[in-house]
Amino acid sequence: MTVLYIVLLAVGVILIAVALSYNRFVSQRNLIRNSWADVDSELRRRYDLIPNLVSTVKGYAAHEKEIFERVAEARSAAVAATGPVDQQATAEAPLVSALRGLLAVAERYPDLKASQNFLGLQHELSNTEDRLQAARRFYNGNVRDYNRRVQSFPSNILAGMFGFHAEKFFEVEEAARAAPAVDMTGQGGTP
Amino acid sequence: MNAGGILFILLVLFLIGCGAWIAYRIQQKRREEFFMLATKLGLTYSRDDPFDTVDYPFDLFGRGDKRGAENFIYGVTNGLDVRLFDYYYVEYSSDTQGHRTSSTYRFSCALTQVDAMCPHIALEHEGLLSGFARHLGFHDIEFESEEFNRAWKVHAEDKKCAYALCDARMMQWLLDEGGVAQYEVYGRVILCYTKRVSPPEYENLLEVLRRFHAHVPTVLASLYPRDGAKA
Repeated sequence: MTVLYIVLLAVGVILIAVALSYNRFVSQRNLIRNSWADVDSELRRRYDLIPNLVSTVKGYAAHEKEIFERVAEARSAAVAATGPVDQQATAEAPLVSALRGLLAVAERYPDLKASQNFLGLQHELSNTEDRLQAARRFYNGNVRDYNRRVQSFPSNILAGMFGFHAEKFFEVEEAARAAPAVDMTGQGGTP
Repeated sequence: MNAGGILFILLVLFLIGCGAWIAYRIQQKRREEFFMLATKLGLTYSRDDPFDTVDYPFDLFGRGDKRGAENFIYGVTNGLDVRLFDYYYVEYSSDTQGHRTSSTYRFSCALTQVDAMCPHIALEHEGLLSGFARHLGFHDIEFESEEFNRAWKVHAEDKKCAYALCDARMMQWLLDEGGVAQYEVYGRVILCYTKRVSPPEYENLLEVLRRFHAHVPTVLASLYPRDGAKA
């Protein structure tokens, strides 16, 4: 009888551990999805900025058609890419490159560089890049935690049983780092 | 009571008096040094806490059974509004026979404000116990730098905010120079603290606070704006 109790207790403990581990996998996977939504939202914010940026540069450098077309094509491709994370990262690379080209073109036009509208957009783009990088790091951090559990013993057994697979990291370069960083040393208020 | 007993009591009283006088003189000297440092930095000195600083909900201010802060230097220096102060907390414990003992822990603290409204984040040195826990698979918030994870233990109410605060630049600074102190951020306030140091050494603590503040990523203000509406 005592043996039966011990076996039942052991089975009970194992079942509770499995349930807790499973639930943790589910919440980690949901956290990854939510953090990906943040990344996606920042990417969309960047897509939305691009037409304004292009139109401002066009106002000063209308003949630089090639770069405008490159940006438009890359943006369309990036917007259309809604597949897995690695595919989306691949689609972002040409856009980043085209945006860098656009900002390089802007460098050649002093009037454009001095334009308040352009400076505002450039600042907004830089801010969006920062937000995107923060969202990306948070997403990758969640993926790292989740993948560690998927690959570590004994949680890997459960991951295999219930189909929890390792997720992919999202790596995307920064398109713009043109706006000067705000010096926060002089911004302290009253604690 | 014989003469020897009376002499012994007088001797004990004399030693207690000497001890109290020495403690008083050390305290006075510390206050004078604080006052001189405040004058040097162009700041204000106050013996007591004019701000109820220990009411701030930092982890450090929640430790112990009794706590207090004194020797405040405050004001704006180089564009940064700061507070420097001594902080202590007392822990009481009793043994099986009911004997009560107390342990006092003393710290040197520096406060300033950040241009954001953050949930609570604490950055502490990774200790022996927490390091061992990591090896067993119990992880706090982990970042992309394994070197940083080994040196620092980060816990936060909002993990996303911790990632926004600890970017590559901040992590590198914490690894290179920031290890002389530990940090907490709550709401708009940054707390930087270390084991109790002498008043002249508070200048170094102020510099550490200034550098930590300078390394706070600007994106934090965008994601956690001061008006409180989380972006």
